[in-house]
Amino acid sequence: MIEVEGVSKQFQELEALKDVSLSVHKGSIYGLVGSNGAGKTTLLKLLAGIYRQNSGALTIDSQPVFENDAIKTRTAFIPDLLYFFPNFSVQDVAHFHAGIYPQWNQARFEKLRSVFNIEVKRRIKTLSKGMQRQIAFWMSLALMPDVMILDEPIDGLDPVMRQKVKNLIIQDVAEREMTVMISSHNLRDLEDICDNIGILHQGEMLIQKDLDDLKADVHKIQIAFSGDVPPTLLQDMPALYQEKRGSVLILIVRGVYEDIIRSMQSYHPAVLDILPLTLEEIFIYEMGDHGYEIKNILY
Amino acid sequence: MAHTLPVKRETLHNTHVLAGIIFLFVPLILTALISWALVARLGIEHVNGTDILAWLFISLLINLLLFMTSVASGMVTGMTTIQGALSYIFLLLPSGLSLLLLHNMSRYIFGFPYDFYFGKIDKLSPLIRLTEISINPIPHGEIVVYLLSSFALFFLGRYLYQRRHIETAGNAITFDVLRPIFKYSVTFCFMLLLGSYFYSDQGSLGWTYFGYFLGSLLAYFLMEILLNKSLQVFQWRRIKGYGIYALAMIGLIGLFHYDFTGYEKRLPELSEVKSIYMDNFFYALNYVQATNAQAYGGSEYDSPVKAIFTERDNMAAIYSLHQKIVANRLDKKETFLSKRTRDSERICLAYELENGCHIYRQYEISAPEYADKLKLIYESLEYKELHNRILSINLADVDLIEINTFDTNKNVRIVDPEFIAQAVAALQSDIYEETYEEMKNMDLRPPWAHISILLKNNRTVHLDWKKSYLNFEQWLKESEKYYQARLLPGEDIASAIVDKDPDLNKQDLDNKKAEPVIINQETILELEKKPGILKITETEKLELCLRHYISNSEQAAYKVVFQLNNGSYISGFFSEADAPAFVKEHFAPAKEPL
Repeated sequence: MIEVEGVSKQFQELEALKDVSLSVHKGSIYGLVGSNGAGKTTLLKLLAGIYRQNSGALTIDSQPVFENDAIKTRTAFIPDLLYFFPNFSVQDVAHFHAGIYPQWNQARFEKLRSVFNIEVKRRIKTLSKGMQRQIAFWMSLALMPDVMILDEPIDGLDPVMRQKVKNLIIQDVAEREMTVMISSHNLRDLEDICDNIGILHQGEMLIQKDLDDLKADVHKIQIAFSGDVPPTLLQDMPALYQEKRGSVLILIVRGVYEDIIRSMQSYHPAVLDILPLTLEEIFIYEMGDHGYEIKNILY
Repeated sequence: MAHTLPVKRETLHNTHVLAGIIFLFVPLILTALISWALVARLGIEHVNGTDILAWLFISLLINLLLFMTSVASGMVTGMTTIQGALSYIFLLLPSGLSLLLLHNMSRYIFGFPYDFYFGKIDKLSPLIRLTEISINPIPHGEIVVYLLSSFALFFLGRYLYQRRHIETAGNAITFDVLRPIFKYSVTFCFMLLLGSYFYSDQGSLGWTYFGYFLGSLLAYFLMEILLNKSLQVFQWRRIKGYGIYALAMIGLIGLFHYDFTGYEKRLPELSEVKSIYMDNFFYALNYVQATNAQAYGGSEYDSPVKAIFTERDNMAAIYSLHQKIVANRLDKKETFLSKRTRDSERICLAYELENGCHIYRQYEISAPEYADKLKLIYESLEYKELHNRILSINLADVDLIEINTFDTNKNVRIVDPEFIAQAVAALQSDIYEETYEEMKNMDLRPPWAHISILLKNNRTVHLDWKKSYLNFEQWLKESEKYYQARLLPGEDIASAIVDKDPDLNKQDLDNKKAEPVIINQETILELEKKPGILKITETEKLELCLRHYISNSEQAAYKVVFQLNNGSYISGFFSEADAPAFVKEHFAPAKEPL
């Protein structure tokens, strides 16, 4: 659905994106993670057709995005800094969108009123920052977009509203096969909704992973032996990470779950425990492979 | 966030421009309608519907042009102030840059016809053009040019808007390729501007170079600060950029200085010359008759006569003058920058060659150095006929001749056709006989009176009755108008006081202008008390003084003040050579006390 190939973007002397490629399948959610200044917003604004890349290709449905109103009609973009026309009420904004986007769904707009629970006659400038963001979601969802591009959208929403919004998005993804690209500087925000994660650092795509594969693939093992650790164990099973706490050895290993259990048990450990990994931990260990100190990249 | 909407930039641009045009046009149209209603209601006669329509049309046209210019320049910059500045720069640049270039080139190129080109550049800018709109209404051709320019600017603006990266919309210059162009252009213009300023103010080449240095340095680093939006621009890289620019400029100035094209030496072959225009200005050559002459307040002014010489001998004389100027150019090059003096004369030449080409040159010469050449030209019949309207006057056209005496309200009016014919003939013979020295009024004697010849077509031929016009004087005497036409000792002038003024000779020679001396009752009384002065009351002596006094203190040895019966005064001077004998006698024992 969304294809980005070798895209670079320069802001005068600053190279904001360097040869970034990614691909998002229809009906999936792609999480873009990176610290401040990593290039997330730049990449999303390129996908929204606001910026023009210096090189490379960006396509949605195999069509270039820039100056393509057919694609932009099907895309909803919520930027990090929202803009509303001065003195517009919620109703006015809805009316404006209805005039611009042919697939605007008035029924859905009415229906979503119960979710957001904001008086439609209120002027947007009188609303709080979080409420303004809710308006942005409200409008974007009523557009019935095929693609949704969200730049740090959860910021400023209270936990209840966060969950509601996430649910609405997931619902659209499930029912209408909407494709979502979402950015955050925090992995934890994304781990429960994303299918894919990409990490941007200083304009470069460090790593991209399918979360299901990842979680199935990497395991954290606590293992203890009554005697010394058999030396062949680590040769058999090269660890991404190892740590010894007293007699307990903590290993992060990659492989099929059953294989690992079988192989471990062959050494007859005193204790063998397989623990769940958080997304953050997975990335920390994965990135260790790439020679990056993840603690400096993610917070 | 208009750019997220599914709307093409083309549409955004078109709708915004349309909205702008509506905002600009509606008030103008309303004003026109209200004016029209008022004029119709109040019955104002000298304004009619066509005037209002013409005003509306021109206002709409010029508004459109300015609006499109600022839209297009707005695509090149992201700062409102710079957009404003750039819009005016675009509108003025053709004239302004030409002016700066011409002004500076005239410094380096000996003979560069600055005045000739200067007369043409105001047409290059619509803003300057607007200032004379009441005299020269915009013709159809120009309307088409403005409309086409507006269209071209609209499409240029749209193209730039589509090409522009949106994130540059906050920068001083939005296109990277334009940044160095803008930077060096502004540097160049400021260099020329300050060079011109310091030259005009100080008049020396050293100051001009200082102006170049200061202007370019300031502009270069100010541009760097503006373009980088930072004060941290004093880095080696940027200083090097300025250094390269400075070297290029030194090279360029050097090329002009050493006349690399041979422009200064270039003279056409005399055999190929069809005609030569020679005058003290190019005004007549550039003159275009105002299309709306009434706006001048009548058609009093005739179009000037173009002084184009076609006589072989005269062309040869002008050519030889030109050759001499060119031959002397190397001595003059250093000094042609010096300030003008009374002796200096501007020579403007325009050759028309047989093959249709034109060569224009302009020089400031010191007239005495070229007196022999100039005399030949100025005393030629052709020169006199080109420069004296009275020589080609048709007697049947003359309504009236009026002679107004200077310093009094005496005057003579001649209406009798016979007298008119005689007067004109006398003046003509005086002019035919006039020598170069008299023409240039080298003896500095002020004329007796001003002569206005009023023609039937409401035009007037003006000339002075110089003291050297003896034929005319004789005719006045014969026709008994003489005593009415000039100041007379006794009748008009009571007395004169002559003083040898030692201060005069000490006057700063650089400052050759006579100091404006205020003469009133008090200064006269003071002067009369001064020991050693000469007070003249005798008619014959007063007449001699009147004939010989000069108006300029440059060669003055004596100061003279005439007391008029009407209570006013005339102050003047005598040179040592031309002072009447009795004056010299009186002051001969210069050291005599009391």
